[in-house]
Amino acid sequence: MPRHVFTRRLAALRLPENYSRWWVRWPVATFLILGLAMTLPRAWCGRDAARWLANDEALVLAHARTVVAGVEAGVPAEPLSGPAGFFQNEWLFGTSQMAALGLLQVCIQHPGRRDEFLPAAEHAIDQMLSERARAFDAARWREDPLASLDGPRGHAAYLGYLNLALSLHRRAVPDSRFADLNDRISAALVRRLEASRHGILETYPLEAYPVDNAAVLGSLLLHARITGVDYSAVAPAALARFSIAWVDPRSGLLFQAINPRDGKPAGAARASGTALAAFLLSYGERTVSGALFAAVRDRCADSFWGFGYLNEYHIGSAATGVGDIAAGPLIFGVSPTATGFALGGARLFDDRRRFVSLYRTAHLAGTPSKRGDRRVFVTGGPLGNAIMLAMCTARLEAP
Amino acid sequence: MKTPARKPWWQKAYERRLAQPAPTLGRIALELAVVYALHFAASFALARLSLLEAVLTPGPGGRLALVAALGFFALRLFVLLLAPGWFLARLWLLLTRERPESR
Repeated sequence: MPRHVFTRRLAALRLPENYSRWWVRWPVATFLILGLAMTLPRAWCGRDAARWLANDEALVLAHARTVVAGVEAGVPAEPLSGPAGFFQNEWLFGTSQMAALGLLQVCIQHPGRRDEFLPAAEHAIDQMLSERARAFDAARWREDPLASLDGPRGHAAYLGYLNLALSLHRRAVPDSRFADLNDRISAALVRRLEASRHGILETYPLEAYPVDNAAVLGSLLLHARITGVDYSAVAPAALARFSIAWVDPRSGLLFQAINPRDGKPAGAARASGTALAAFLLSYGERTVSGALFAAVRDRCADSFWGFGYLNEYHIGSAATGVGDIAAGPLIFGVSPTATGFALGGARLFDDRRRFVSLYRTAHLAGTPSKRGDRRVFVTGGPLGNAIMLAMCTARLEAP
Repeated sequence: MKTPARKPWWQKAYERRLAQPAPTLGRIALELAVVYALHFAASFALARLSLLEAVLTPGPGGRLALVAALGFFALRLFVLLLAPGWFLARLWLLLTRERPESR
């Protein structure tokens, strides 16, 4: 059939006249748009969630390769003098920490792939130990966190997150080359916790955050289980603070900040800190971290057309905000970082429905794409991809 | 003599829209392809940036990155959530358009 005949016939194609009435045409058009929007995207965006939950090797390894590439490329250097430089160094540290956790979890779950991923995990730990990664903490404290291990100051963020990666490395590699440093940092953190008047270590001078102390405690409990060291003098009291003193009784969420001078809350109870704390504590124990995740799930989680998300403040709270470095930018109160960290909690505590709904949102916002033998969340960058690997391969280390 | 009342802008826009010929199947498909091509090109470009770090960093650079991220997110919302239904709805409207003789 000649082309012009085909296009003419196509142009003349019409349904019977009965369908042309406006009260048939427009409701059907609206139904098509809404009906497909409510069903097709949730199926499309959630199709990898079950594979993550089943530890599908092809999917995990493809994403781990992206994280390896990010670790090898590093984070571009910026002068530390400006605010951008300070955060750039913090991102280097955070990216390396999440990459180390994610890659070590891959090594533990897929022992046959250790040769491929363990060197990159160790490279990420070496990056955390580098002078550049230490610089953001050293600039605020005016002392190097590793050179001052005998001193009294907190350094909770740098030492807590580093020690968690070192303890997990020791779990994956019993004869870890970081064992000595892991022991020294653990001893310093325990001594500082014992000396602390209110049981909280400062992240920066006069700034203390429960989430950073969750990294400290998670790393110590994991270290204790691996080495047999007894932390019973500090661990039970420290753990109790995460279920009583630092928890908002109305919502069950952790207060974002604590005043280190009087031990009282210095910030609202928020989902971003609570969701990350639940993930970090899970390396050492499961009861308190499970309660924190349950609070986040019950009081902050919601969904729209099957796409799950977390509100930064608990549902019904009058608190508002535009977001910060911890929560990310809040759009209608939704926290991007809390939503991402809750993926880890949902996986750890076997809340499959929540994991699938949160993963749909991660798929929608993260734009996963296949690049050769890798799978990358294109809007995540090195930090987002490292966080996604750590969350989507999270496993309970505590018995 | 009474001057004719001026039509409001929305009535003029509606009449202009009515006067336009119905879009062809080719045009509907082309517009959908352009939206998907734009989405693909934007995701290709964003893969080369560390967008999340920039969005989380306070300051003017962070705000610019946030605008870029929200713009891309809006495009992605349209592409994933609305575009399939939008395409089918336009096909439906094309197939059920009024006949010239019935106007």
